[in-house]
Amino acid sequence: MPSPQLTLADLIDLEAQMGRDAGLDRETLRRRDRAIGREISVAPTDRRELILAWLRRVRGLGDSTGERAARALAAGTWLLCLIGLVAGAGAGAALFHYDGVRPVNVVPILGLFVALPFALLLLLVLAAAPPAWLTWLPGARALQDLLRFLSPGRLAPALSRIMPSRFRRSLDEGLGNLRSFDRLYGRVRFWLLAGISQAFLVSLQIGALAAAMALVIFTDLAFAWSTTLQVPAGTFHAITHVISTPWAAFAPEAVPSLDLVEATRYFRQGGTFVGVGDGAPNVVLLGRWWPFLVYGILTYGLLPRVLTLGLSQWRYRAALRRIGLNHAPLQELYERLTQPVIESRAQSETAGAPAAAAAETLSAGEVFAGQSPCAIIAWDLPESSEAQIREEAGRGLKCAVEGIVFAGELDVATDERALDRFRERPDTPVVLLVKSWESPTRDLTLFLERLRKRLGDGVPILVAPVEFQTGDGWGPAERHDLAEWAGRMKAEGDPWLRTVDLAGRRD
Amino acid sequence: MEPPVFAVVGHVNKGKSSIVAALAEDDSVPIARQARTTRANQIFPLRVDSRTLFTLIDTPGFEQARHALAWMRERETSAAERSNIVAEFVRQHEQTGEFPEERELLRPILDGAGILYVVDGSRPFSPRYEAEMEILRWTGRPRMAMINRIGERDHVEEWRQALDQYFSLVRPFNAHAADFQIRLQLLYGFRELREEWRPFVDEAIHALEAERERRRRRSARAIADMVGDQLALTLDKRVPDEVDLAPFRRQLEEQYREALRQRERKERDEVEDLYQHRRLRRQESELSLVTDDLFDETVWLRLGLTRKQLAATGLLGGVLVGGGIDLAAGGATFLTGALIGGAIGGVSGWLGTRSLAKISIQGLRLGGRLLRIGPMRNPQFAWIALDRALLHYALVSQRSHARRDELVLEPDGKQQGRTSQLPLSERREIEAALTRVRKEKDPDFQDDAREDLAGKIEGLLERAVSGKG
Repeated sequence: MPSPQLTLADLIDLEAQMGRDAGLDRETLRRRDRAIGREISVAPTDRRELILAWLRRVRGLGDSTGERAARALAAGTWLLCLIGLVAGAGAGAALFHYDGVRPVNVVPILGLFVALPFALLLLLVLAAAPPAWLTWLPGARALQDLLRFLSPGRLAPALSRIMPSRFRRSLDEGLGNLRSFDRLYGRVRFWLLAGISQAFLVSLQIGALAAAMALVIFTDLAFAWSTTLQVPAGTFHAITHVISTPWAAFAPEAVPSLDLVEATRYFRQGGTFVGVGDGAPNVVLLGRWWPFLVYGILTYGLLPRVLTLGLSQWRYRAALRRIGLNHAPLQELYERLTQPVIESRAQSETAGAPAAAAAETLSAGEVFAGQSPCAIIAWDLPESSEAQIREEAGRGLKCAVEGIVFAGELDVATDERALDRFRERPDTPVVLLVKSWESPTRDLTLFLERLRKRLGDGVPILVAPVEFQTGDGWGPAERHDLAEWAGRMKAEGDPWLRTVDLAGRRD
Repeated sequence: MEPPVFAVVGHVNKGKSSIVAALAEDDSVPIARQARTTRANQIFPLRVDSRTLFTLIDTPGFEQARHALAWMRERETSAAERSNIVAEFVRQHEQTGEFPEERELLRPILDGAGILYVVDGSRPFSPRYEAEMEILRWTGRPRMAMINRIGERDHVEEWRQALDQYFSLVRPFNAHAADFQIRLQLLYGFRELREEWRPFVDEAIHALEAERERRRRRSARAIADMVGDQLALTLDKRVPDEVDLAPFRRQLEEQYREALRQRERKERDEVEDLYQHRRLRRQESELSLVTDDLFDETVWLRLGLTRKQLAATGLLGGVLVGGGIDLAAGGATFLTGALIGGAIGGVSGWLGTRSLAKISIQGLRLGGRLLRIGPMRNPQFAWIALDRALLHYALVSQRSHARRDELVLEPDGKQQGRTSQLPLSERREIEAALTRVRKEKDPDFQDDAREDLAGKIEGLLERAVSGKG
């Protein structure tokens, strides 16, 4: 299935939308366009159809900038055609004007309606040639630019100013956008303006032809030929013969004969026109030029313009069809339409827990002076033997270890056994050895609450974080682990619960 | 079939949130050393076009697993009843308010979530953890264990032996080092947990791979746009007649440098945003190479191409690279400038003999003079900008979202930039694309030129990440 035809309105709207989207953030665009992309039932490989379908969605209902601009341009074109029609009719009436004294001169008619259109046709070919072809011809590019500047099609946007202001603004915006993407849309613009120019020239030719025919039918015209140049009648006949070639075969009456040429030559003499030859020209012969002139206008004026109008329309549509819609913003749009939006972040953003209050740790030396006694609870330290704990803790705490109990192991019964050891209030501080890298858990804090109940107020409970070294020995806990333990123990609100650093550091 | 839900569970402070942050590419997940960062379940659905393919749930850690298991064991009658007992545990303690963390983490599992159990492989195994594993086994849900190494030590094998007894799948996963490929490998593990979940996970993997390509493509274009803008940058300053130009000149030079830096920062932000790093802080330390001032001479010496390489690339014709040549060029431009009524000099003070951009002075019709700097004429500049961008890309695109440290852009001290290691033919291709970007004035053709350059850069980005270039 062929891709849908892009219109001027689409093109203008597309660029206008791109301009508007440039101000939106990427995430919004991505969501909007992907949602549209999923709704559009178009194969993602058909970029044009996809983008046009997208445009229809974002454009919504009602008048768009592009549609208003296209309407304004159409109005300008019609107005230009009307002007062409009037101007052509005026020119035709002036040139075919016969005042009964001075016959209608064939030469300016040929010049204006045959030679000039033919020359303009050649210039059109020059203007339409791709610039790359003209690089070898000096000055051709400049001439091409000049011709494009002089194109009557450029008048259509100016004439559209009779439209209401919102139409004018749309047209200005639309054509401005297209101008800013000249390489992409340059051919579209060129053939659009060329088409308008051709429509104007067709109107001009129709006007001239209509005026000529009206004068031929409703008045009795006398034609002659006259020029300042020294052109013999034979030469002029040869010229008219060549000009008549296209229709000579099927309309011989529209080919001037040598007799007619010779008989209708006039000179201006003493303010009046006089004929050559024997006496006054045959009045019948004076009227025989009109078929030749009408065929001439038809063949060299109107017909080529109708053809170039058709050509312009064809090339304009081809240029619209050829637009790749692949420049950077449209490439991004295509990606937004076809690439799925992936979201993986949290449904709702939550704040983390507040940081624990900073708390100081004690050094063992501050608690135990001179090997004073201490009782130890080893919390979740099944891998350490009693002897190792006695040695390491005794060294680190600088206390005489009086007893060691294990708690916090897989079996919760160890907790009960440990608490049973403190049925009576001890005289010594109780040290709870914990793994420094394991964060304090609710399990531990509940145990500490029960222990406090057993011990009563005033008995120090010292939590000593232990760090295992690579071998069997213990080492100093890392600072951040110590800080966490100290903060959490302080948060328990027990004034006799402190954290102690086995390495003897004090914060 | 409902899309799978995976509950990330484990002991307190063992990196559950880090794993979720890495998998969900969410750098807003609170991660801290202190425990209890996560107090309630956090939901992270992976949606592709609003369709959920799987959901990750970050849970609070186990706090009283031993007691919870003891409670359950007291009520155990048969193996078939175990999951009901877990459900009963949650139900009963809803009323008492006890075991808040265990209740919260078990709830999604009882609702049908798969289990991703996280342990710290840098710390020794403790039998105490068996309480957690046993409770999870009692739920009867598909489960996988992830060994996350938070520290340097290695106890992975020790953990693996224990975990193998409770989990059908055990995978090492370092949340902080998890780049895209590693994350993808973990997702392949998710597929194995349950047959019915495979289509969802496969679709997610496919979508993530496509997204990865899109990000690379867009990053390449962002870098090409940055280089294009920097090369074309010009700044003007109006200066009254008959005043000393030197201060104005210095001011303009500083503005020029700042504008180049700003453009670079914009590109960095774009790339970081593409890769969902929205809270990333780049290190601004003067010691760090890439975050050094763009005009720091050390950067010029270590990034970009060597003089020899520049000459070989062909753009210089072996002329401009010569140390003394810039002086001659300065003289020539001065003469040219004299013809138009002003003086032209090179901005070369901060680079010794390397001139960066032309600075010119032109007379104005209405009086006064116009001081203009730019566009960039130093052929080395684009290569350095490219190298810096490649380095930044390689780090950002592979950076785990679990990391909360600053992005330190510091290549190996002795290592040259990546572009200097490219084969000559590729350097020439890139130089041709750069030249087109540099010379093309028509905005539409400029777009084409940048797209072409972006295509070349995309290949470099791919290799920068795969480590092949």
